[in-house]
Amino acid sequence: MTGGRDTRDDRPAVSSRVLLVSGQRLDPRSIERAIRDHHGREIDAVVGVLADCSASDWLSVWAETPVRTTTIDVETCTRSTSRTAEQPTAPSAQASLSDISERLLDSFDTQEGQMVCCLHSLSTLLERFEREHVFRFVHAVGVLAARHGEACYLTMNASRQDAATTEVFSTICDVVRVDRGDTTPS
Amino acid sequence: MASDRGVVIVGDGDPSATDRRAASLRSAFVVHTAYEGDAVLDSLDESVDIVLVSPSLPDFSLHALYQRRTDGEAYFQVGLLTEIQETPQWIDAAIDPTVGDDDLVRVVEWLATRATYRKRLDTFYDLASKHASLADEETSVDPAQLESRLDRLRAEIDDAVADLDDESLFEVALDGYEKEE
Repeated sequence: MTGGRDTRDDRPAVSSRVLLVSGQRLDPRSIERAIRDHHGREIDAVVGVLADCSASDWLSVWAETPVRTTTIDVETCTRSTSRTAEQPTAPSAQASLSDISERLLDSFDTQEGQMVCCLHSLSTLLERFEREHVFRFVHAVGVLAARHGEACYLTMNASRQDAATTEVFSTICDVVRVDRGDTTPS
Repeated sequence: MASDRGVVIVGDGDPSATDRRAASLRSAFVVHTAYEGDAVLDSLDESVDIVLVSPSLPDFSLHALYQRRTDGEAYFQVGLLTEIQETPQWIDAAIDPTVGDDDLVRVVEWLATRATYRKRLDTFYDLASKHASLADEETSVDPAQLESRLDRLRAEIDDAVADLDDESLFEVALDGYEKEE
């Protein structure tokens, strides 16, 4: 399954896309907890496509777990792991979604085992690229992650775009989790 | 089966080659033939999934085809019949003009699947946007009807992506933003 809205408890075993909606900016620690909480089983590896936090912040959070971690910086399209980090390209060469997708494909190709993907955040991608373009990109990422046996998590700050945009992206998500600011996301 | 698929436009500098290729594709596709470049452009509408064309076609302009592809009015895949391996990045498939009929059908099937994925996804996006705006508008559109169409499209998109490799997913999803060279 590559899409379908389902906020019930009988969610599919492997969700193509999980939308994590919060009313405020999510930090890497909250995202790591939300992913592990929702996932409900061991995670081999995670790739973070980062527009809202630094690679070092992301890597430091996941370093406290046994999960292998890769990051792709949306601004420069550089890739980092807990052991290696590429030099960023020239700042004038802002990465396109095609550039990012190439890096994602490389990451999945070279990864042994299953790999969760997280786009952090959808809100920032929507500020940089057209909504329809991001929508198609997110769909393809979800299919790719599902093919590799895992899910794609999308973070969204509900205060940064209109409700209709959240609604549109929820149509291609198997699960929509809304963080109301307490400890019980729905 | 052919009725489920979009139209294929076939055009070559040699009219007999155009007719031969069209004949080999007609068992699986609705095929239109073009014997000059303007005919290709005139035939382009939403029903077209694939343009299978040779640069030797009289009065044919690859630049004009590129412009039609990027203007967003109609989405189609392009198979270029050429012996030259180096083709512009936006060309979806470079096809050796000496290709046999079976292999040609296979390539066109692949292009058709790519076109189906993109077209269904575009329609899905349009309907999802429409559904999301219903609450803000006075409209006679039935939400249940829209949701039913979205469900059908989900199934069609799933069918299409099942036959696509990982690279094709992104190439097709992000088509329309590539450079001409």
